[in-house]
Amino acid sequence: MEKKLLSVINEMLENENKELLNEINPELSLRNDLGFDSLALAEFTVRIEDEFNIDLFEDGIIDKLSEVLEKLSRG
Amino acid sequence: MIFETARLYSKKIGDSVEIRDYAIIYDNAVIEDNVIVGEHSVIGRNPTPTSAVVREFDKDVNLTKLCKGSSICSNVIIYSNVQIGEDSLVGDNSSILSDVKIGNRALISRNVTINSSVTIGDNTRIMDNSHITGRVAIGNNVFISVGVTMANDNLFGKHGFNDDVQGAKIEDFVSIGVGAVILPNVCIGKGSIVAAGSVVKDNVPENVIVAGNPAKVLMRVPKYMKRY
Repeated sequence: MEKKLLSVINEMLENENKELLNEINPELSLRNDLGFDSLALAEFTVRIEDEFNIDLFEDGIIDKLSEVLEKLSRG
Repeated sequence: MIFETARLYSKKIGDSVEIRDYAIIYDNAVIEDNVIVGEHSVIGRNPTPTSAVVREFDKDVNLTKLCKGSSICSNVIIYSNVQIGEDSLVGDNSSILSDVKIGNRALISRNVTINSSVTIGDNTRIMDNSHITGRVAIGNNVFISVGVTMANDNLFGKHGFNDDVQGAKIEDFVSIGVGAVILPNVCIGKGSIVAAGSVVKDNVPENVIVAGNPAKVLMRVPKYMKRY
């Protein structure tokens, strides 16, 4: 699961010519550390929906990778 | 309550109506029950005919109707043959030209200019300083953010207001971000989102997000952003 998540994030970072992640650090913030703006967040949720069939923001917007992992693990 | 300095040329005024100071209600206006017309607003004004105005107005169809529960704020100019739907609100300094129909519970915010031959659906919200050009059709539950502008003529008025002049068709549940520009004769499909600052020159399919100049499809609308 973490590997898939890492590849989704890195694909997006690569498209923006940003530095890639080596691993999933649960403390990272989507907005502040990965620099995702509202459009990037929308793209991220679409990619997660496609990959994991989970609506990340179903119960409100989340920001930390730890929260993303928690959502994914709950399936 | 009719305030002391309001001028009423129409007799078709419903119950529990409030017409505030310096408002003018012309004789072609119908004001239904529980309507508020704010200070200095003008309802049912006829277009000013000069040779500079190329669009022809139908002088026989000129009834302007404010449906029950609607509120018109201050300094609003509403021309002839306009209908404002039930419980809708038109904000300060807005101007609405002839042949416009606005649905129920719509919100037209401040400084919005709406040109002629426009339809706006129920529950649609148009925010401050936006410009809706002529011959535009806007559906129900649409959200248009601040400073959105539209055009309807690729030839800059060269041939007057002929049949080639055509504004956008904006379908139900579309959202348009701050400062977007919508160029002539495009259709924005149901549920789609136009990102802030985009320039839309081509049709947009349903349920996608478009961004950029020219606006391109980036992705489908994610579930959390869907409005229906």
